[in-house]
Amino acid sequence: MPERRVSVDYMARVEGETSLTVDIDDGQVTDVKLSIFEPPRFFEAFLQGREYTEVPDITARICGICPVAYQMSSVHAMEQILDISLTPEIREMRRLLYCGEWIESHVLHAFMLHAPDFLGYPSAIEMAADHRDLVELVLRVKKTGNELVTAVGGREIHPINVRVGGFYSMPKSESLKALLPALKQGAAEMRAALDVLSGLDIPEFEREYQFISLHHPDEYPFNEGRIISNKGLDIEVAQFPDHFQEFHVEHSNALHGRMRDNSIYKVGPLARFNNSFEQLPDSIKQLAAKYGVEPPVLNPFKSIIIRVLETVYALEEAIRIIDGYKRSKISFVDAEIKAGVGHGCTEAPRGILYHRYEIDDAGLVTSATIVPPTAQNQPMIEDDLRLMVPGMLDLNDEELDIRCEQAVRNYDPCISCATHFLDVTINRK
Amino acid sequence: MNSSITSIQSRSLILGIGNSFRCDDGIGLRVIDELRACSAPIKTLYGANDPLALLAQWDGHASVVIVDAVVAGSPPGTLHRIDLIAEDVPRGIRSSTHGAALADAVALAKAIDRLPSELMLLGIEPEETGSGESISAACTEAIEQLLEELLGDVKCTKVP
Repeated sequence: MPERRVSVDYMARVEGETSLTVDIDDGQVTDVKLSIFEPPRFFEAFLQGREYTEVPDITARICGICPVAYQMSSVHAMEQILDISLTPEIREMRRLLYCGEWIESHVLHAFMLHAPDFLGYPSAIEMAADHRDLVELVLRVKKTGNELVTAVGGREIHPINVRVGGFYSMPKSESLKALLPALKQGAAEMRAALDVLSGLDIPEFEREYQFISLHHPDEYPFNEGRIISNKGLDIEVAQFPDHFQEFHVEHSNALHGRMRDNSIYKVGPLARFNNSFEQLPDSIKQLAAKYGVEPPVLNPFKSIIIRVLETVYALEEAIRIIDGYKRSKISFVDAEIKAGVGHGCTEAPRGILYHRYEIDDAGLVTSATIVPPTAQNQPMIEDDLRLMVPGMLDLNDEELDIRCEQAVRNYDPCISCATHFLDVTINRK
Repeated sequence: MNSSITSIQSRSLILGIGNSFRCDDGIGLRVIDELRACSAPIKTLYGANDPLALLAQWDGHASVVIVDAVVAGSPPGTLHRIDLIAEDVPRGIRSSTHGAALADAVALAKAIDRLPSELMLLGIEPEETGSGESISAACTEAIEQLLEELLGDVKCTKVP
């Protein structure tokens, strides 16, 4: 038994079931384990034999928080196989759908799940008693995000309007324009909420990271781009398997992600912000400067501010898209079925989500690989704690527990996503 | 409670919570299906499992009834009636396979004054909550009883 142990048996305020153990001996961290014990769900295995058209709806079920990400990565992979080129209108509608998901997911995490750590509350419920206006604002903005996903996707959780090649139908202009007042109010309120966050006591901690994200020369990344790092990586999405690997560790039901050179890396808001700051509109860059976050942001606790900046961006990007929206007659691009291999990578709220599929000439899936952001971030979460805890040993046990949980929540880990794919080989036996 | 539902139907809501793939945990959803099948003139919704979404669902409704499986250690099929406004629901207790969302939603709504004027939980003690879609005999009988109680004198046309 180590001389001191941080042990959180069942972590609250994360999506899914996980525990955390940090062992400290003689002032040194001897072991860190983020143990994900939520059972695996074998999606990669049971996708085999399914029609390629079913994949966006099946994979959406991996997560109730980020179903759009699963739909987007899967449709892009299938469209690569079928040589489908999207119309600009479909491309724009996909960005709009993604805006809705980022808004919902980011406000939930930043304010309801993460902010209580900074403000000293056990949960958002106790926080609500003292910060009622803030909680009401967050509920309003989250509702706006839900309404946006419903307007484009047909349903707020697990949308039903997404298909390979586009959408089953394009939203009516009036149903999108009706959202503009709430989106504008939400953007203004989120900008104001940054004032609250700027007063937070952000723990002092910085470290070097290998940041991996999607990057597009002309826009902040959602659906399209190359995979880049701040260390010189710059590859096509299809080259993902050449540079990244997954492996099993005993203490987690989610595979860990690493680069092929065994290095660990970070995906998510900080990676996007640092790798694609230049692609943000000036209004967001100025907001970032006002609140003292400019790239490279190397303090993971500042992720809470970046999430809210990204929320403002998503709200304003949604307004831009809706302002220019004219309903097009074409809602999807069709193509002949053919066999092949396709790769898709899009920016889920928590970071890049990579999909790879092989389909046969009847359009049936013969192999599927899904690499969710939380799986990729696991080694980095543990490494953050390894580096962070030695500087926190003057905290008492309770404070140290809370600080460690807060550090894990920097990643907004989605445990259910991470466990939804484990070892296909086990399932085949 | 029957009278409150009939008198202010336009602002009443019945929310069924549960998981239809976990046997008796699907009670709440089954009740909603039954109400819809007989065209009951009451607004019904499948309740969300996320506390924030639950809050959004009951917003704007004066009288809300939530139907769910409730584990209280009673014999299977026992009906539980809990006034969620008058009584404290212990948070953190996993009353069903979908966690403590309801208690959290009530606590959060209390903190920011977003509770409906009436919020009742009608629960049925489950017998089996493992994987599967069938509802036990004890709970099926309790559902009938609960429907009678819910509908009272509300006119309901059974779909043939």
